[in-house]
Amino acid sequence: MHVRYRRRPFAAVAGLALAAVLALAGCAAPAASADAHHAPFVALSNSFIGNSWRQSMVNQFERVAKQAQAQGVISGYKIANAPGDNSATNQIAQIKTLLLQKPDILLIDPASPTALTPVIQQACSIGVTVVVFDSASEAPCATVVTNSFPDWARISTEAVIKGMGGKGNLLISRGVVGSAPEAEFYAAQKKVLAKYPDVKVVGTVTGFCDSATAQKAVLGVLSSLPKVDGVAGCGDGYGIAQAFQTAGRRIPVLAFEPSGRALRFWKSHTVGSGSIAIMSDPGQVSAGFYTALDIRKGRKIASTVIFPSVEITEDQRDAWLPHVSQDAIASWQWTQELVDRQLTADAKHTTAPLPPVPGS
Amino acid sequence: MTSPTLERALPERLAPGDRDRLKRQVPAGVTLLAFIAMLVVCGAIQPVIFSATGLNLVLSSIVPLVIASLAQMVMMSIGDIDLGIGSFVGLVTAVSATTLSGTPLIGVLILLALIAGYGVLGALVHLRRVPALIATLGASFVWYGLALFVLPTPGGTAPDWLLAFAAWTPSAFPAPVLPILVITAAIWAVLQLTPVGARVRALGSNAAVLERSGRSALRTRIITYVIVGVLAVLAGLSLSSQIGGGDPTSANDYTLISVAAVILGGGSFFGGRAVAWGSMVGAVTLGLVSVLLSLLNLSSNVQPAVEGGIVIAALAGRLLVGKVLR
Repeated sequence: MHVRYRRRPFAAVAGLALAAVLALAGCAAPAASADAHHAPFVALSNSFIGNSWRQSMVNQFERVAKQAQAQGVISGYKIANAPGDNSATNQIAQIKTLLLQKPDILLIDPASPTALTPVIQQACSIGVTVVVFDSASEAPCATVVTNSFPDWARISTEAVIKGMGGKGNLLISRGVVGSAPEAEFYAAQKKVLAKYPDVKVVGTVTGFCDSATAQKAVLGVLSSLPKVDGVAGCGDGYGIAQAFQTAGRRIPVLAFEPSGRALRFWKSHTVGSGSIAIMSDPGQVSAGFYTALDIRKGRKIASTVIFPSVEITEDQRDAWLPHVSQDAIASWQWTQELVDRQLTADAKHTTAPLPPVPGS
Repeated sequence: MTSPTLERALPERLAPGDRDRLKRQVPAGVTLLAFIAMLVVCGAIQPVIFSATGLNLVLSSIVPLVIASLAQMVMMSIGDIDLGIGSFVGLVTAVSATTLSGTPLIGVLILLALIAGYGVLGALVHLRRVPALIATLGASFVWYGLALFVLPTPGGTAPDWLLAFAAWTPSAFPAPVLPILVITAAIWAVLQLTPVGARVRALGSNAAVLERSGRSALRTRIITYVIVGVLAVLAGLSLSSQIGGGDPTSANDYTLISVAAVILGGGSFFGGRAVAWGSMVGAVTLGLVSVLLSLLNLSSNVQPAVEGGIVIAALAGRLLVGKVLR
């Protein structure tokens, strides 16, 4: 600013006078530091707010952003939920409006891995650090922070089969058949099954990774099935458990979704021992947040970094309960330190220990 | 669809008097005021909006909606409603992202065939007396099915010239203003200055008079549907340039938003009103609502509800003015 003013004496005098007034008012300090390493302004663009996963995600973002703002790590934050039902066009418009406000960091939970590419490129071209989470992205300039569907499938299916004692009858509840993530998920499940020849798959239903849908689907086939020892699903165990309950059958080993409701059901009912609660982590947003801060600090980060899914075993369940309200989904409580540890492990292709259970 | 207009129709409607012109234009004027007010509020919160870059950012994503609303306006001017336009625009993005960028010649032929499809739809509506509402709703599934056939999962790449157009950001003026104004002016000219336009307007306000004057209502309806098809293709290409590829479901919400834009812009469900600039302002206004809400820092949970409330308020204001003038 001052360089430009020096060319015009009057403006320079006026500018200096103004600066002096501002300095007296105590406003000059933030303005001066704004040039060098100013605290970034962070915006979150979310394509859809209509389920508890997204609600928990937004809450996680608010928690870390508020904290970071209080510590002066960021200058401010903004949350933009695109209106409508996960529409890419609405989200594009929303991101363009966000760009008007010149965020330094833009976190995106995208409606589509492809349609946002031009607007993401546009954001990068004006110097915004873009981190996409909860999805893939075709935009070459964006860093993708995500959970691994194959890992989720492997961990949950293995837990269920171990709970079954490595043998018996298994029912599979598949997700959105035909979608790319589901294909990865199912392939990983089949790989696990190949290791356990004594496990017999007695049926396959399509539960769309949704408790209510899976409940109906399982109820529909249950009467025609022999004794079921375990069900391998994807975040639909609560509905499946209720289907078994309705049919008057013993609830087998399940993979629950880590929602408050499912965890409480699990605690208060007799469920096949060895069950697990696992799902992609709504806390990905805070992992993305700290990753973006690292990128701005100049740390070199791969274009895609994988963070662990939320994973709750039977013995950890009661410790988690006070931290997951009825309508929320359990989230890892990422901190800068934990994220850095994960990023280092990712870069070395090793596995970092899971974050601690909240409150422990 | 034509019976309500027949009762109200008077021969002089074909040559509207001053009062009639007023009736047609004032509701759109109210929307224009709402638009200016919103722009001023947005600008007060975020002054960058009044720069070429700012307007570029705000308006570029609204362009496809404006063109789709003009298509809906042409459709509604003859008393029909197009419930398939969203799917059709999605289909065009799918074609744009696949054949049009791969083998441009075949892509162009497919787009022409789709426009012809609209003409056939018009003939069907007219000859079989199928309500346009039903015919276009049925067509929407056909469009969607075709789009999934062309492009099963969202993706693909739009042709380079489209991407180049989307990336074009001159510093002198906001680029999106160009397609918005040019296409609106072209549609205004076609409807108001050409004999074809006169026939289209006559079909909407008084089909009986049109037939008595020896013109074919069937041909007029087919021509109208073809104009709608052309505009919808343009909307699809413009959307494809925004999303960089194709997505069959990307424009589903255009169907109803375009109807709202036409009503905001002085259109009517019963036909006989064709205000091109009004529909343009209506569409831009609806596009600006979400910009305004985003700038206002409203809690994200109430945002959709407030957005709906603003739309209802604007529509109510526009209908009130229409009533007062009657």
